[in-house]
Amino acid sequence: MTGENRTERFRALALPELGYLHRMARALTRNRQEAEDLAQETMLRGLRYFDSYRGENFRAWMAAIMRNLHRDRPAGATMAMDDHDMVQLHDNDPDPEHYLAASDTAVRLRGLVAALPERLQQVLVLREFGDLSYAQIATTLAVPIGTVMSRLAHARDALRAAWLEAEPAAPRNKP
Amino acid sequence: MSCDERLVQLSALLDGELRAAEVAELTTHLAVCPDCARRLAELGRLRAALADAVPEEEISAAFLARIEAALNAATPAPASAQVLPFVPRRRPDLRAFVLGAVAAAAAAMLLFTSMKPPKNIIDLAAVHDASLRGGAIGLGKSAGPTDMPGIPGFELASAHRDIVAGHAAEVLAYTAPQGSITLCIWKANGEPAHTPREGNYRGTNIMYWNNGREEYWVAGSLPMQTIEAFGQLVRSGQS
Repeated sequence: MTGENRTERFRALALPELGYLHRMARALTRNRQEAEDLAQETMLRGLRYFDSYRGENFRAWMAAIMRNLHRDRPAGATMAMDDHDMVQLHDNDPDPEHYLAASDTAVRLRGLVAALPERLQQVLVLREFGDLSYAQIATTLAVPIGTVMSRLAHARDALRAAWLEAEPAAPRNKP
Repeated sequence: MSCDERLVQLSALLDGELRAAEVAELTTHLAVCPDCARRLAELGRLRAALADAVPEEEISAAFLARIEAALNAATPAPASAQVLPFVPRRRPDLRAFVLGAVAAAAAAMLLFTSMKPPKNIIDLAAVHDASLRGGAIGLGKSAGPTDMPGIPGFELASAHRDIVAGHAAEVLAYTAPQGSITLCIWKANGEPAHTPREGNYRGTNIMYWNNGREEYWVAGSLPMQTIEAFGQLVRSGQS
């Protein structure tokens, strides 16, 4: 296969997944520039190792690459949070105060996600932002499905507790 | 099972990853356990807040262009000269045609996504970003070109939705005795109308225009006169 054909095949598989990869990268990095760098590195790494792709779920395959790249980044690579621009203003958000409040909540939540232990953060990001099934996450992380379920549950519960603690306005249900 | 032990079940319930029997058992428990019911409600709200914190976005034209440039830069240049092997002519069959249509669509994808478009195309692509809202990244079966007239001499063989150069496009494959043609259509979304333009990329002839409502791209390895004739037939059906 020529290099061009190989790239064409990779492109046909990877471009439809770019939205998911970009979203996962935003969740992992908390900074748009950093997220786009990570997504681009993932695409290039995927192309470089495309010969080792064996037909499994392609998004999960790329997510594993992204996970490794993110894990292997130097600690200083994560930039300070500067991500008000990562919050989209919904069409039905009419006023700036609403936007800023939503933006603050979003920034705080992403900070809480970033503060999760890595093994919990990974599974949460793959599920919530990569929209991968438990089986696909298990493949991506090379762990049993039961481990995925357990880690995801603990990630969510830790995040829930921290969110309720940090966010006085966070909705609570009264018992 | 204690309520803490049910945490994994609550999480899996949100994801639809429980078996029916487990759902039934958990639902029975939730009806009598306010703590678990509250925890489930909070987890549900947390999930919605997470979705808002990192919202789905359409890929910007600028980022897509950056990815394309990086992939192109990482691809070895093609050989300057290439001798194609002789392939004996065979009677066309359905399988061969389907493969041909897929190849034509792939060629169109390659054409649109790997060529360096003129700057005005990039600018117009940015305007098109708004049209990608609503999960257009997902591939799927086309609803069908309901308002697309038949093209005399060509048979519509397949239709599907795809992403072509960042646009959510209808990709229609037509066939004729002399070969196949791929027609891609996406919404203009305010992109200014222009008359037909032509080009050639790696042996594929293309003709493209904008009628103010949609952008049309016709691509095929047939002679440009055939591409033009096909394009004119499409255009005549729009008037």
